[in-house]
Amino acid sequence: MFRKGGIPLLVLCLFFVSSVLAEFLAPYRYDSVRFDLSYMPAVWPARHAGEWAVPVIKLKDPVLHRFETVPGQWVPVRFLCRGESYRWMGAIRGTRHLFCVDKPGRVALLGLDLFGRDLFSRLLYGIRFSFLLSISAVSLSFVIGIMAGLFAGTTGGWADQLIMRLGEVFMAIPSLYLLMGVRAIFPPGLSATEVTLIMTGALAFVGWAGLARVVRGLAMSLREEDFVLAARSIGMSPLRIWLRHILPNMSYYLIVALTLSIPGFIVGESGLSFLGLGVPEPHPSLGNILAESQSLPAMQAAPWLLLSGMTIVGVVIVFNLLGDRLRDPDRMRRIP
Amino acid sequence: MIRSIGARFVHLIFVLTGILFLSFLLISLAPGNFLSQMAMNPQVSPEIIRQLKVLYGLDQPFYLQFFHWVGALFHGELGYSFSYHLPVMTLLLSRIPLTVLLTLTAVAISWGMALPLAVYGASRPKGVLDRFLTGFSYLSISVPSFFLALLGVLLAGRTGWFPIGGAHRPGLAGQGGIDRLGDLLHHLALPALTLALGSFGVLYRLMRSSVIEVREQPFFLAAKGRGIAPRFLRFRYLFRNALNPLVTLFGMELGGLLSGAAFVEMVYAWPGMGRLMLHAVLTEDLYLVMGGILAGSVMLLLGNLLADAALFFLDPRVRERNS
Repeated sequence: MFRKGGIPLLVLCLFFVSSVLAEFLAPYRYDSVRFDLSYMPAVWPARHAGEWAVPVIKLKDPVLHRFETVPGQWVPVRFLCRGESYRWMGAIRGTRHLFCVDKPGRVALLGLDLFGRDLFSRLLYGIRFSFLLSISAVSLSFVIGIMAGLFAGTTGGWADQLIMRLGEVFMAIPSLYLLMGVRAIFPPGLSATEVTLIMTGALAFVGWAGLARVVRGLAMSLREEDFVLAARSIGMSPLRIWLRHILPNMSYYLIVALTLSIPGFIVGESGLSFLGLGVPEPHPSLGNILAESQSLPAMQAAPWLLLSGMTIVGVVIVFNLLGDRLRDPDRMRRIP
Repeated sequence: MIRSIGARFVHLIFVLTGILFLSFLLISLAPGNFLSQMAMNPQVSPEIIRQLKVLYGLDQPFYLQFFHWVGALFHGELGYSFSYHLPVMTLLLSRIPLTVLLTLTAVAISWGMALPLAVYGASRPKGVLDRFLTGFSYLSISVPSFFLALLGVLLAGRTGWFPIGGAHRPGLAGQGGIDRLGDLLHHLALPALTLALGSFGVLYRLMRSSVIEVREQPFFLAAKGRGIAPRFLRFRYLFRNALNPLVTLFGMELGGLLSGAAFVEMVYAWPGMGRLMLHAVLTEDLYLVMGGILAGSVMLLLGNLLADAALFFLDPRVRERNS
């Protein structure tokens, strides 16, 4: 499995690890503002007087967002240093960063946004948020979809009819409309945690039906297999047959389906955040960073904010490539 | 034939009922009803609230309320939008045509581009054209519509080729028909192109594999062996036979297209259903949200129905099977 993943899996792991270590890798916190450096372009460390340092930047024109370097002033970059304090994953306190720069200077690998927050740091946090939310939503929708599909496929009869017709109803509503409808039940202005839970639930609620249909088809064909018959004849309970025989036999397909459906959930999450229905500011998600560049003046003043869109595209491409690689034609042939 | 239409109709009624029930359930799950705000007003006595509850049937059990609501629906009554101060039906009817126009134009553009290109691309798999188009479709599948729309806004802002916002230039009310049409098309061009580019990828990949499949079939080889002119062969034999699976998939594609259209509308400020829905969700205008869900689903179901009908006319095998 791992060897088959190849480069896409490697890139994905890189994304994942770096987003998990966001607090450590990011030089600043996601909400660390510098109002005097609004829309500052990228400032990279350079060699100065034998060490890595960052030039000090000063605002020159606040209307057109022009900046100039203060001549002769450099601030050294320190590695594995103590910087802004954080709570890793919201739990463990820490102050270590991979690199930091002392106060008058500000390192900005990808530029700053309207409030002078570091885009690089925010992207790392945003990727983590989008990943965690989509993966939990996908898992939830898989649990619902697999249970519904297995139940429908193995029992048949009216339960099958009911579940499948219900799934058709869900699939007859355009997904964004349904998502917005679910979101509308809850009042605006909820806390970030509440919104995260709601979005996870809503995405799973919208996404389960397609999977249930496929799992049902698989379960129906597996039900006819001899080993299921044998298991039933020795008096194995239906639950055990599901868990020991039917589920393991479709696991390969499920892994591929999981890989291929994650991008849809990431786009769904970032889309909702983009529309302002997702996690509220200042918490970053890929969609809500992109939403900051929604107006033409913002886009022209800070085109680097569009990088969050590029990141979404990158993540989606990597997941699609991985899914295509995993989709082994020989093993997929059995799938109806 | 009549039986299959009948079965399809029953199925349609069932799905519609399900959608009605689901959207009613959503609205019932929302905390409070439209009397909640009044109940918080100290000047309104609890007695009046109770009377109003009885008057509007809010004291009745859930299923009775549902039947009343569906009954009202048959009279074209979808409730009242609190944020626009207009009946929901009026609002929907003013917005649906623009969304349908946008979606259909996008379908025309993307099918018009993807299908002929796929015929040429797949006639030499792994050739230069095919490699380029396959890569392009990968990109098209992976770029979310809202990001593509943002890039479109950037393009329009830099070049000034396209107007952004609305479906008409302001102050055009008194102008003649040709001017209005031209202006509408000018406003439509960029949103439709954005949407079309987003759905190009899926179409190209599907059509490509379909064309490759048809090229290996005996009847195609036989036609080729008889020395039929390539142009004739390509369109009468290859294109028409490869088209069928795509028509079937049109229904599935339409759902994604409607969602994509909603995003595109919001970014380009195109006054269609998507923008209406977003406004409704942000202002907690629940009846409007529900009306929007219904309208979206009806558009999707009608699209599916049209696709089935089209397949019936395009594919004699389907006609045979059903008669």
